[in-house]
Amino acid sequence: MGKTAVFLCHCGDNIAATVDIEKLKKEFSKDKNLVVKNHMFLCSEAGQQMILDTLDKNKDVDRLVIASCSPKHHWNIFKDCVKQKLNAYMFEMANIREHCSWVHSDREEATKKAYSIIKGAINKVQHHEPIGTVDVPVNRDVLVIGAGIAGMHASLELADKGFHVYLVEKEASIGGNMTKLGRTFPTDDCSMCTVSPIMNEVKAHPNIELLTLSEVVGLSGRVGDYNVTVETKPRYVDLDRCTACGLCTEKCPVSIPNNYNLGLDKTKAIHIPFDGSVPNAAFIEEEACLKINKGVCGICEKVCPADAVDFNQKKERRELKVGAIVVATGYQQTDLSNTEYYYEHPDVITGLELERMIVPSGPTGGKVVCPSDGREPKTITFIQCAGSRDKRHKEYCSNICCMYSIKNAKIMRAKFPDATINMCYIDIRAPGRRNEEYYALAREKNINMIMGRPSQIMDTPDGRLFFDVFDKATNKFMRVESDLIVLATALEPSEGTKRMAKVLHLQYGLDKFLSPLHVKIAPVDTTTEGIYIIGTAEGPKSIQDSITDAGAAASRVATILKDDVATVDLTTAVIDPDKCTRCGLCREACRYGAITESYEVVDMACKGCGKCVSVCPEDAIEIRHLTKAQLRAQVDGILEGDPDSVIAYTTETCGYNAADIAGTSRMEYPSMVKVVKLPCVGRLSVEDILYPFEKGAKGVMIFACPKGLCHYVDGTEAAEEKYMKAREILEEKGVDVNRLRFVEILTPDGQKFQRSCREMAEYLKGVQ
Amino acid sequence: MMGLTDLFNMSKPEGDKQKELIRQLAVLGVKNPSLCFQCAKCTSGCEAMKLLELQPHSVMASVKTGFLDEMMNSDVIWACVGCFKCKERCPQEMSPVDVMFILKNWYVMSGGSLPGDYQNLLQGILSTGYIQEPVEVLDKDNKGWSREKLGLPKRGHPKNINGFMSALSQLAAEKL
Ligand SMILES: Cc1cc2nc3c(=O)[nH]c(=O)nc-3n(C[C@H](O)[C@H](O)[C@H](O)COP(=O)(O)OP(=O)(O)OC[C@H]3O[C@@H](n4cnc5c(N)ncnc54)[C@H](O)[C@@H]3O)c2cc1C
Ligand code: SF4
Ligand code: SF4
Ligand code: SF4
Ligand code: SF4
Repeated sequence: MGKTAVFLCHCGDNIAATVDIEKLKKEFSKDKNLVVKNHMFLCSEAGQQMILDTLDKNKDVDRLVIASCSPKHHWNIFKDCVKQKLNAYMFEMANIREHCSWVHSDREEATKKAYSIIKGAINKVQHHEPIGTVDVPVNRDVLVIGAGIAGMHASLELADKGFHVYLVEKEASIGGNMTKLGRTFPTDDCSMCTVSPIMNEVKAHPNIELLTLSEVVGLSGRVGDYNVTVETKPRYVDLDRCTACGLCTEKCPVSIPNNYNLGLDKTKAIHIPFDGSVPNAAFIEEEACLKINKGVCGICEKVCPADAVDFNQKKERRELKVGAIVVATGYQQTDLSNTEYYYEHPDVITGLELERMIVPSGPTGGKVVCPSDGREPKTITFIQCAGSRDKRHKEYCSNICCMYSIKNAKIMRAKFPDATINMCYIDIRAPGRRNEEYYALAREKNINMIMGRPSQIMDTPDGRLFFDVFDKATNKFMRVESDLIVLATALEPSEGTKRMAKVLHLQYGLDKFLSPLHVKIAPVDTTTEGIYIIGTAEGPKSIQDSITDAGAAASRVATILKDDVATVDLTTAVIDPDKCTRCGLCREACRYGAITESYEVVDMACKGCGKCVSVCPEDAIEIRHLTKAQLRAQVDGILEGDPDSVIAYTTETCGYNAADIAGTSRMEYPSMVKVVKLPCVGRLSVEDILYPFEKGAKGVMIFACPKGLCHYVDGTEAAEEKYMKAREILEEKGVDVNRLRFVEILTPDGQKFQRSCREMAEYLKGVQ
Repeated sequence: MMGLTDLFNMSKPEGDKQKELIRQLAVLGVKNPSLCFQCAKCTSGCEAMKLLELQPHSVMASVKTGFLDEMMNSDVIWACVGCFKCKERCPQEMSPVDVMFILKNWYVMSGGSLPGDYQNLLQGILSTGYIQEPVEVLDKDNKGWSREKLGLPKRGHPKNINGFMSALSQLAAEKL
């Protein structure tokens, strides 16, 4: 074996201010097997050149360690650099920024920890072996989920580029929330007039295959080669025959609340989704239909002149093969029932309900009325941030409600020149092109702007809505009576978005919106390669921003699917046939059926989670990118550097990300905690969990993705089982079981990471 | 009120007093007042606003800017009736009512005397166990309700009033 080169990065002051790079350099230089270099910015062109030059000058160096920022940040940059001289896997990154310099302030302590982390990486890399690649065919079809404005725009962009697009929409018509709006800021044109042509274009496009009443229920495979299961509910109406004459609706005896109009009016069990829906055909709401539930009626079938009603339609499942997936499943309004906003009162409505009343073809024919008795409102009050910017509801700002409330206040003024119009707000948020100017126009419309947030909406015994509010601008305490109160209700991810997070194993934030790979520099990418998130599924935003997202994702898809073949690293499992006794445990553990009956691993099916490794009693199976020898060597190295360490095993995703977020948010925690990254905690065998204890570690923590969010189906459950066993063994041996901890954690929860580490250290201090 | 406030000399946002306030609030599980974003929801619902023009949001603003001495010595903090609505409704999980309790305690500890009404209240508690003896309360429809009408038992009173008084005084002494 050759020598190992160690590169220490200052990262300007980011690392060097807290970690003594010179001291580390001196220490590591003592080892004759190491070639040690440092650089101000290793990721810079000059830094990378230095790496290449070092490899050129020292022909006996055959592996390297890069001690710098998180691999989540720059792994690809360094991989591409290393690849020019060595196999791409002959290096290891030691994260001394997010996991060290940014979370410690004491220089000596941080330097000691950095030494220990780097020592772990040096030891580990000694066991690295080159990892091969294979070329796999790329499927160039694309799946878009959700046909709101974002999903439709992305579909059209991709279809125009020549990709075949499957557009899956759970409702009976495409169009999403935009079909419900009246006018849209900042241009004030009619929403349906804008969106209708787009819907028709989607329908007519030869490269777009539309699946309505459909949802994705299963996903497997990888970028370039995804297998998707789509379930389609029966429409009970033949799309090719229905002429949308509406006779069925007229005759159907079952009246139901009209969901499209947010329950503001009624429709029938069989109906056309809305005027201008696409496809423009009737459908039957299964739950309401007498024929489907009780076997009686069937009137629609009889009256339909086109013979389109078809009760024989069944739920169908279809397998689609695609190369990339775009998720555009949108938002919904938060339910504010049983809060101080008094949403139970019929005259307290949401922004979207007002939009429905504004639309000329809406439930009130374009008349804005008090839903309780249909009277014309004399006083209309808008209450901003209802449920937003509120830690008891949604902590975030819903982004667009300032703008749409201003829009609707203007519309109210135009409709009711003599009405009193109030708006209670904390501050008005109108950034972005033309938005402040839009607000300025509204200020000319004689709207009472009250700078304060009401505490509670109530009604008088005779039913008048009122609330008290303190106006900071006039310094006056006001009692505001209103006929109609419009809440700028907080937006949250739609139920469909939440379901997709589960089915597609996508990461979401504490706010439950799908979270991007990187908020700044990879805003539509996700942690899963080939899956993109756009529009309001990612966070509350305007139509304009949703469209920007859609274009960005279409471009990302085009990039990733540009070639017919892709080169994939073989970061997969491999079986040693000499050791394997064919006991079947690995095959049972694998959720991807990647191990054949003849005990060979199918590289294209294997995800590299390592769950099989954790169960093999013969040590016969390994994953190439994290072998037992590598894992143990890393733990040894860390403990050599700092014998008082707590080993924190983390998943590649949630666990490691949470530790990184603790770093970027500068959340200090005890330096004894050292992170060891695994693809999935399912990789851990009982022995792996106990190993650090044998070597004298103070404790072991396991940071797993929450159950149900494991990126490899059930790695968390598998790890928890091993953890319980390990506890039993520790107990038998008389070791304090509290030194071993299992924590489920979500990516954004740096705070929980910090808290868990502090608790562990606090506990260890107490028992010493 | 003064015409121009000299922020440099008057207010000490990072002073010891403020740190102590933050520490005492943390003991109560309440966060740092500097998280208050001045939405005035507390004042909009404040019972004492209606009667005595208390503006809890403004107390919070003063406290976060460092005007702690001024607030501690001002009359406004004594207007709070302790209904806890501000704490209940605050979207930022602040607690003006706790801030004011702490300031009131400090004021008394520093030798300040209780405002007149409070003396009476205190006397009432010491002699009867109650701030006041409510006879009837009104509901939303202005209908009066007594315990009797609601079929509730009569309220009790401290049996050993001297023992009760000395226990309370002892507790107060310990707390201070
Ligand atoms: C009251 C109000 C007024 C507004 N006014 C304006 C305005 O004036 N100007 C402006 O720019 N913006 C406005 N907006 C914002 C605007 O509505 C959004 O920006 C836009 O509709 C977002 O589009 P989308 O495609 O991201 O989501 P959506 O419109 O929510 O579309 C999502 C689609 O996905 C489907 N879906 C959901 N889950 C699944 C699933 N699991 N499988 C398949 N399909 C699924 C849904 O049925 C829906 O069709 C307003 C919003 C509100 C609430
Ligand atoms: S956009 Fe405006 S109304 Fe909506 S939450 Fe943000 S500040 Fe409040
Ligand atoms: S359990 Fe994981 S690592 Fe093992 S063969 Fe299956 S997918 Fe590959
Ligand atoms: S204390 Fe709470 S309710 Fe009062 S102004 Fe501050 S944030 Fe708003
Ligand atoms: S507790 Fe005090 S400050 Fe808070 S709302 Fe009640 S009276 Fe007002």
